[in-house]
Amino acid sequence: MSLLKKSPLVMITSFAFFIIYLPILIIMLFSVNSAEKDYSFDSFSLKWYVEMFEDPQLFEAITNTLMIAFLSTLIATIVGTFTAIGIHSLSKKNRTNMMILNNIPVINPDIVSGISLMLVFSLLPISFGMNTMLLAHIFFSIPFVVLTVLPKLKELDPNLYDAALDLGCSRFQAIYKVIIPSIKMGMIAGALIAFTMSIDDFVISYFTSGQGFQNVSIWIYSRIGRKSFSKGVYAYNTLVVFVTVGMLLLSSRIGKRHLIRKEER
Amino acid sequence: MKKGLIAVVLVLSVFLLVGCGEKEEKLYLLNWGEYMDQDLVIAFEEEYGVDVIYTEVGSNEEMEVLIKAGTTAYDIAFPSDYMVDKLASQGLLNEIDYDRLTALDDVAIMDEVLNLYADKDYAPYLVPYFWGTIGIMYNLETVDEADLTGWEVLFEQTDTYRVGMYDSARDAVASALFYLGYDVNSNVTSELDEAADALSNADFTMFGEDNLKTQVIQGNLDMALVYSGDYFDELYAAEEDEREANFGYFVPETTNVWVDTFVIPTTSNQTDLAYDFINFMLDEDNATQNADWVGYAPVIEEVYAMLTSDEYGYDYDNYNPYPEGASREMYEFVSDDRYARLNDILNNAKAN
Amino acid sequence: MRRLRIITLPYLVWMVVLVLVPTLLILLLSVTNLDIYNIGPFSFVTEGFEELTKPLVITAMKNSVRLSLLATLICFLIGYPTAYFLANLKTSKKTMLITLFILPVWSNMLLRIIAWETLFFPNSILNMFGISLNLIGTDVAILIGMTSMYLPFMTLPLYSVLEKMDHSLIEASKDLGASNMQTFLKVTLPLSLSGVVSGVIMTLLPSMTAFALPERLSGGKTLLIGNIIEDYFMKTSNINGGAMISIALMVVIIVLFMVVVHFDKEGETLI
Repeated sequence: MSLLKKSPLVMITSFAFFIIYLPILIIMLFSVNSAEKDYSFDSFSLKWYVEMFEDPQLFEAITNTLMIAFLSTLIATIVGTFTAIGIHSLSKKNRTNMMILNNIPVINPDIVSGISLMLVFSLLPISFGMNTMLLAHIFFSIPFVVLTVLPKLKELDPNLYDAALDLGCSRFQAIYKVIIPSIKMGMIAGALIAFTMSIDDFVISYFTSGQGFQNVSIWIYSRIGRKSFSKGVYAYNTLVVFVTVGMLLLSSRIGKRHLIRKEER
Repeated sequence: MKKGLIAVVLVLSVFLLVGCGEKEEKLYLLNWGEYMDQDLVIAFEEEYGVDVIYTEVGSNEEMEVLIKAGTTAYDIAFPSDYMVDKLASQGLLNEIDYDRLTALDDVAIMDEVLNLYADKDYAPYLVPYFWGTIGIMYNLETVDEADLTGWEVLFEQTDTYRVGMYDSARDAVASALFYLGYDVNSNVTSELDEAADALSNADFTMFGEDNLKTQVIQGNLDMALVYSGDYFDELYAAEEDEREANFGYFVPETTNVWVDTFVIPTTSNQTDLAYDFINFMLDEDNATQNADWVGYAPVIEEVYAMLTSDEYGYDYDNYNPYPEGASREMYEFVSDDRYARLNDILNNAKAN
Repeated sequence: MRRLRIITLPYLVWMVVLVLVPTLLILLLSVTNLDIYNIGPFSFVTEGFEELTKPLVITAMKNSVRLSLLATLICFLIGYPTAYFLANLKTSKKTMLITLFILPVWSNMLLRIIAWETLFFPNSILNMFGISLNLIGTDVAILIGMTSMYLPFMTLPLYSVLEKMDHSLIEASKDLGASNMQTFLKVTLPLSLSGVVSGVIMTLLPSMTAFALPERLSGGKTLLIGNIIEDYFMKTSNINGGAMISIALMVVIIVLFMVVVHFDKEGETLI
């Protein structure tokens, strides 16, 4: 392809990056704006980055968000992987039925899922708060892990597992020494999606939380337009962006070094 | 791999332990945003050695849903008058034992406030907290004050002015009923239909809640329906930043007066502590500090006198929600069907 | 491998408790006068169906369908070329670029919506760059917001299929005399169909059921079905009516999903 033919593609791609990054850049701008109001830029200031740690409710919301995201991702990835292995071994008909069940949370509108979970949890003897929100996040994350792991299992030689058993592995050993390594990429992809869904969730968290337990989204929603909407939350968001971009750059560099080393051998 | 698993188990158990480790008594509050000085909450926590868990909501209806859902055992909530009526009629509130409100030995609730609800069925279920009005906040630079003659400015001048309407069915319809000169609690179909038409025919620039006041100040709206406290909030903020306020608050002749209250839902497990808390907030010094922080008009005589004295200087126009000779109406709950109708009216106005 | 089947049992129980039970409960609520807050005797009523014929509900449903289809179309028109361009990059940077494209979804969506909202008012921070928009309350505002939020969901699945595509097929097509356009329409597009379907679903679903986004960007003036459901559950406490509308929305979505199952019988299209 000549550069000339490529240029419309380059333009569209640049536009795509622009439209998804513009709000993030605006948030960054807000985060270093000393003014209380968002409609004018006064002067550069890092005070909101301090404020983020000093507003106790915001700080608590941030730690809650991260804790729920990490825990739910961890649990959902483990449970989801084993479930996918189980589903993979089902007969075709059962597998299809199971996948339909698995996909319901994925296609269900968030608002319906949130209300459903609220109804079920209120019938169970558990108190609303961190526990219910964590359960809810695990609930909507597992299906994504199943969906990413299953295709990797399909690419796997079905005889591998039996061979491992024949060679004297226990069932558990066979799974984690033979199956897990080959589906690692699917697990990582699933974990990433689960983490993404959890850290950003508002609707389901809103309906399943209680006892004053809140994540960043709930914190934002109950404060839009109010004085108590601390601009420290812009600082938090900007830090999240920097950390994720930083991790991406780091991992690509490690990946590259890995590649070079391989080539040297 | 095994090390990883052990680490995972450790992390998990730490979280679980943290969850069970707190043995402090807890007091659950269900309040509006920015409606209580958090320093006082902290002072209460320290004095009584308890943990106050504070949930914020944006509407009376959301409060009702949360109390009904029972997902949290709230000890004190802060609904407005008509919602107290609704909650009490559903048996969701405990009667207030006024003998236990020892703080009232030292201070007195203003007669103007007591008279508002003295003859209502729900009077035994509440202790008043703050009171106020609804009115029109406007931008001084873009609005000609001669146009501010009454509620009609919200409905008849939407071509000249960019008008924001409050995204709350009861308040939006109330402004229309006032404009048409009907009873604010009217349940007459033809009158409600007229109010619906008035709201639908007006071309509002936006429907919002707490963001309306900000947009008026930014100049993105010329005027908006707001609560008195929205205006005072911004006024104090402007004074604090030493900038000149570019906005004013206009209260038409007849408007709504509301009372926000302390109530104790039947879900409460810590009723003793709830009374302690209410007493704490009714204490003269604390109530003064709180009213100074919140900005709405206090309901306690001594506190009101103190704040409007020269020392605090709150003697602003319209700070008193019910000046002598003014015409004020309270909302009544009426019925679920009527509220559903109000909500439909607001939604139809939005869709047009 | 068969012995591994047992692993699915706990998941089955979990899903039955958290999916089937509440779905049946919502179904029950929609056709009865059961009071969810005071569970007691109840009877079947047909009032729920009247909710579906209310002009407001119909308008909101139409708004949802119209805006989400438009947003999906826009996302496709931008997302496909983007995915195509990124997938065909020869450099090792393409993984990084696609990841960079997905990263914004880690920053809070409500916050990103608020950022757009402030820009759409005439007096905004953009004034310092000499720009003043007046879009609040328009469909354009909602569509820009939806595109910004959901474009990554459209692009990622497209990228995964395009990246795996066998290039010899394209070359073969060209060798056989097909023009670029013909090759694209007859070879590339059909081969990437599964990616298109999952991209469409991943964009259509959230935009159709959104409620915070339209509320903020329309200045509270455009109601989508999500706003109506929220109203029923959180404002008027009409749980039974809200349940009926939720069921209707689920039916619409299931019909949509059937189309997908048609393309992929194993139900793995979603990723």
